[in-house]
Amino acid sequence: MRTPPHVVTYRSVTAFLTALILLSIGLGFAGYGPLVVLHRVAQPVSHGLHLDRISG
Amino acid sequence: MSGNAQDYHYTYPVAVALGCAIVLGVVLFTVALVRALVNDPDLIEPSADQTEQKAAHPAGPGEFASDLVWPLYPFRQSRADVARVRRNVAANNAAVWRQPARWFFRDAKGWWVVFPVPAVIVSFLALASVTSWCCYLVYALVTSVSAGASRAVLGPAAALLRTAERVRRARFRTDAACVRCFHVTTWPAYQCPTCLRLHHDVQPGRLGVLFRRCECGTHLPTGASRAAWRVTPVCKKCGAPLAAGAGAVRDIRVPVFGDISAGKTRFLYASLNSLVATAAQAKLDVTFPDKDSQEQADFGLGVIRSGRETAKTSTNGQVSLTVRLGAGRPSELVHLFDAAGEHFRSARRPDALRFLDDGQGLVYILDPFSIEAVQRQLGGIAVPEVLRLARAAAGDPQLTYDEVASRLRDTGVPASRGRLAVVVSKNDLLRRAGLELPADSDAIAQWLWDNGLHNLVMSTRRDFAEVRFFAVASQAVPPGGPDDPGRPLRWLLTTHGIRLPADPGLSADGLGAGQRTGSRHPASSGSGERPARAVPGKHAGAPS
Repeated sequence: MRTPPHVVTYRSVTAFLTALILLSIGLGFAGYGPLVVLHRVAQPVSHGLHLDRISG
Repeated sequence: MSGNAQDYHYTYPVAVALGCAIVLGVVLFTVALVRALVNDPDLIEPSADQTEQKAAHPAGPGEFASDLVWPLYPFRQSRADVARVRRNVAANNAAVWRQPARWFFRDAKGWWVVFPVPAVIVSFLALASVTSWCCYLVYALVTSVSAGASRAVLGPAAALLRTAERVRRARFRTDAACVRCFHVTTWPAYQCPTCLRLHHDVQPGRLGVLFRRCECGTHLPTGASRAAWRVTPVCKKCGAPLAAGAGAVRDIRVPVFGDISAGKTRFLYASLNSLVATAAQAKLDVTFPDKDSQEQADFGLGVIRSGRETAKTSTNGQVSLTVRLGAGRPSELVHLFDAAGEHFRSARRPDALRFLDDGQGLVYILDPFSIEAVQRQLGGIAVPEVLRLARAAAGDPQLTYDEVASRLRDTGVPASRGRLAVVVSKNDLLRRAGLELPADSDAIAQWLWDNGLHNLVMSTRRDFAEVRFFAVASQAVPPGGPDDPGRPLRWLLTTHGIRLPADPGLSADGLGAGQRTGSRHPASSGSGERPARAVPGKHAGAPS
C-alpha cells in the first residue's frame, strides 16, 4: 500500500532533525574537540623531538 | 620515545581508529534508518490500526469498529518507526559482531595469543555500536518529542472541534433520520466517494482533525457539519442514502397517525400544499431531496390542487416524505410519516410504526364522522352524498389513540416531552352536513369533550407536554384561511425552531387567538353530550 504523504513528510522532518543534531554533535565533539585535545596532548612530545633534533 | 604512551606516532593512529569506529557507528545507524523509513518500513495500515483499536476498545452493541482511515502520524506511525529503527540498529550491530564474537569468544579463543589485536577489534566494534545506539537515541528523542508536541496541539484542537460540533448538534437538533428504516442517529455514516467505504465516526480525533484520509487515499472532511455536504450520508442501520446535509441540518420528524379513512394521507398532502404556499410567501425554497419524495409530492400536490379524491394508502406502500426548507447549509429537513390506518389498530407491532418513536411532534387525525354522537346528530339531517364522500372511519377514535400511546409508553418514548396536534379532519364535509366546529383549540377540545371524547381529550393532555386541537379541511386552502390544513404542521415546525412566516392572526409563538391551551382540561366539567350547533347546509369545495 502506498505510503500517505503525511507519513512521508513527518518521517522526512524527523530524519532531517536527527541528521542536524548528529552533525552538530559530530562537528562539536567527535570532530573538532578530540582532535584539538589530541593535538595538545601530543604537542610537548613533538616539541621535545624537535629539541632533540636541533641539539643533536 | 617509542615506549612513551604520548608519542604522537601512537596517538594519531588511535584517534584515526576511533574516528573510523565512530563513522562505522553512524553508518550502521544510517543504514538502519534508511531501511526503516524508506526501503522496508513498518507501515501501520488502516486495517492494522482498526484491529488494534478493536482489541483495545471492543465495540459494544450498536457501535461500530474504528473506521478504515490512516491514523495521524504522531498517534501511531511514529511509534512503529522508532521500533523499526531500533530493530534495524540491533540487527546491524548483530551483523558486525557476529564474526568477531565467534572468533574471540566462542570457536577460536586462540586468537587471544595475538593480544592486543582481539582487544583492539573488540574496542573498535564496541565504540561503533555505542555510536550507533547513541544516534538511535537521538532519533528516538527527536521523534518522540515531535510526536508529543504534535499530539499536544492536535488533541486539544480535536476536542475543541468535537465540542463545537456537539453544541451545534444540540442547538439545531441535527439528528439524522432514515426514511426507509426510520432509524434516527446522532449523525449518519458518510460514504467515501472513491471506494464507497462507510465512515461511521467522522468526528475530529486521532484519525484526522480537519481532514481524514480514507484507506483508499481519498481526503474526507471531519465533522458531520462539513462531511454532510461533501460526501453522501448513509443510514448506519440499513445503508440507505440520506438527503445531502443529513446530520448537519435541523431535522424534524412529524408522524401522522389515525384510524383507517380518517384522512391521514390527504391531510399530509394538503398540509404540504399549505406549507409550500407559506414558504413561497417567505421566498423560501421548498425542494424534495430524493426521487421518491419528489414523485410522491408531485402526485399528492396534484391530487389536492385538482380536488381529486385520495386513494387508500397501501399497507405496503411508502409512508414517508422528506421536504427541504431553504437551500444549502441553512436549510432544514422535514420528514412527514404516514402509514395505512390498519397498522394503528395494532400499533405495538415493532417495525411498521417505528417512525412514531422518534417523532418530535405527532399529528393525530380524528375523523369527526366516526364519533358516535356526531353520527347520531347527523342521522336526521345529513346529506347522503356527504356521508358517502366522508367515508367515515369505522373504528373508535379513542382506541386508535390508545394503541399509539401504549406503544410510545412501551418503547420508553418520553411522549410527555413531545407535542401533539389533534386534527379534526373533513371539517368542510362536516359543515356541509350542517355541523359547525369552533375555530380555536380550547373550543375544539370542548366540542370533542361534549361529544363523548372526554377520555381522549384528557389522555392527550396527560400524555403529551403540549396539545393543540385543530379543525381542518384537507383541501387546497390558502395559508391562514379557514380550515387551513397547514396550521398544525406550521405549529409543530415553528415550535421546533423552523423559521416560517407567522399565520395571519397568529401571535409570535405561532398561536392564534384562542389557540392557547389554558388549563389542561376543558372548562366544562360535564361529560354529557352536547349537540354541535347545527347550521344551514352550505356546500363548500371538494370533499376532503
